[in-house]
Amino acid sequence: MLDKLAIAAHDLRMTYDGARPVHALKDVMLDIRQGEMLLVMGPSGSGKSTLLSIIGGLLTPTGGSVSVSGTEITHLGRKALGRFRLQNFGYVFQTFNLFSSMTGAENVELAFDIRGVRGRKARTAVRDLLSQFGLNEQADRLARDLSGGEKQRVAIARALAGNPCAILADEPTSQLDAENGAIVTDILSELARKRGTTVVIAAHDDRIQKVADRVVRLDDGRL
Amino acid sequence: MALSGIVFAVTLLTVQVALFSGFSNSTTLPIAESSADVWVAAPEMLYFEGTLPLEYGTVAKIRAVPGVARAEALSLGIARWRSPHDELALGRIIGFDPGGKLFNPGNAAGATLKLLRRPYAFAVDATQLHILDLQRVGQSGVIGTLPAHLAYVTRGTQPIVSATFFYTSLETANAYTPSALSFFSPPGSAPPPLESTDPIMYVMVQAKNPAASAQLAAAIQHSIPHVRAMTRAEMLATTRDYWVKRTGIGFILSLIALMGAIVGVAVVGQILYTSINEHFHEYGTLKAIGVNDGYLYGVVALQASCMAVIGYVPSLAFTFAIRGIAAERGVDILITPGGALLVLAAALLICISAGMVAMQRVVRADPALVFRA
Ligand SMILES: Nc1ncnc2c1ncn2[C@@H]1O[C@H](COP(=O)(O)OP(=O)(O)O)[C@@H](O)[C@H]1O
Ligand SMILES: [Mg+2]
Repeated sequence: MLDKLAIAAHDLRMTYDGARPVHALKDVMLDIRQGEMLLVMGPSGSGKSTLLSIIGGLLTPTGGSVSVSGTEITHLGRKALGRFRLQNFGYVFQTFNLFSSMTGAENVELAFDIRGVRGRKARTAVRDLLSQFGLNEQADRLARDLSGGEKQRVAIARALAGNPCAILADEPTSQLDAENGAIVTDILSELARKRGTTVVIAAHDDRIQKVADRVVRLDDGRL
Repeated sequence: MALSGIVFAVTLLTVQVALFSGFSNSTTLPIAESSADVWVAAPEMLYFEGTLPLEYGTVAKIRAVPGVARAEALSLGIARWRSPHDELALGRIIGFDPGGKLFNPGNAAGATLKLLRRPYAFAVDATQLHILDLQRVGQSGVIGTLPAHLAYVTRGTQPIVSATFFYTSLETANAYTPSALSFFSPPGSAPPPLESTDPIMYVMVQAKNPAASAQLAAAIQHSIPHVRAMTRAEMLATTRDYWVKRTGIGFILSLIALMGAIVGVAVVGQILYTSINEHFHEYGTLKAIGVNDGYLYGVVALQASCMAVIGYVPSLAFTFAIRGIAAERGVDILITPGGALLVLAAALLICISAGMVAMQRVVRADPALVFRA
């Protein structure tokens, strides 16, 4: 299962324009295999988020290319790229990014709704996902009233709504205590092992290092 | 707070539209009160009060036109009113046949209407009583040099834009008109019947076949020289358009309605903008996940529509509530189904367009924003 190429980044360069241009990525080459759990480490400002954004089709690089499951995404238009993200990626954020005035279940249901899955089918799928992550009790509580660990589990459930081939997680545990960090780490590694989902995590978390299939280090934009 | 802003803007709009409907309806009240299918006037006629006289003899000629079931005269003159306490007022005398079938201001009962057959009897709208310095039926004043007795009071018949309408019989109206024989008639005697050369303003015509009133109007115009024959709809439109388009009043009312709409856009836009900004990160997350712009606009359109409806319902209630107060002052606030729908459509348009503008910021936002803590 680890043979198939899921994401191939070639010669990635990223320069942020400004009064003083920032070279956030310099000639990054990276191949990620299907079902692989890859950890990108590096100090703050080394370019981890930039790399994740480019791989995830959120940011167009200044140079180089990214292909995902054989599709060259760096040249897709804005709309096509949006559709591609919706169908292929799930995102997990450091700050969870849930709709705080909606319940946990509604947040996940929204992710189905935007993919055109509605009604009973969506609600059943939502309950399935939430119960997998031990969130039966929390489903009907407002997102703002959940603990950090619960929020991040809801966010992972949301990221899985489109049955993505890859999950991109930017510092998913850095706002969590050790116990909840461990739970989230386990969930992410299970995804890679049991579902065969490609999981790319940017973090500097030792626990993730232990379960990751591979660790790469970014230093000042260089791998 | 937020809600009251929308209610305020939509109310402004509703009241303006209702005032506009009321106004344009009010200008045509005398025409709407008649059941005539065809109106015959001088060719120079501009609007109901702005026209030149015809001869009374025209009525008989029109009765002879095939297809005419009934023809009655309507006259219009100037009234110089002097109240019992010597208060002066200027009005218009509308003369018609109280025994006829085609004109009955305020739909008075038959017996009431016949009171106008008495010499120098008149009726006015209730809103005009204080202008004429009158308190009750039976009081008298003077029009020109002749007596004038208040026979009954009508309701909802007085156009806002017009001087007081005095409704009288044709004979009394003719006597009050200074150029006519009234000058020679000894005080106290009844006014004489009209001669065929006496002036009237309109001939109201009932068609044998109301469905063919356009053809009848054409036939009358063809067979009687120097007249303009109009269907009821044409007559209404001519007068309404005069007031709405040729005077500044329509413009002013539209302008104020437009200002209501602008305030609405500003208020709703501000509210939605603030709300979207508060949830900017959340909407940005949706965008990062890959929803299309249409979905985001759909979400805000739904929110905006809710706001429009929430603002609309109380504003309509408020407008209904102030109707009574306005009516006492002779100002008609008219809420037609069409007007109500128009305001709802405008409120939706205002809210949705404001929402679209507010959502622009999210749509234009960089999706990579979400990975920046
Ligand atoms: N939108 C941006 N505009 C300008 N500079 C940016 C922008 N985003 C990131 N940077 C810069 O690029 C470098 C890499 O940032 P980032 O990818 O966020 O690193 P990390 O996630 O490892 O902390 C940093 O120097 C940062 O200041
Ligand atoms: Mg970062």
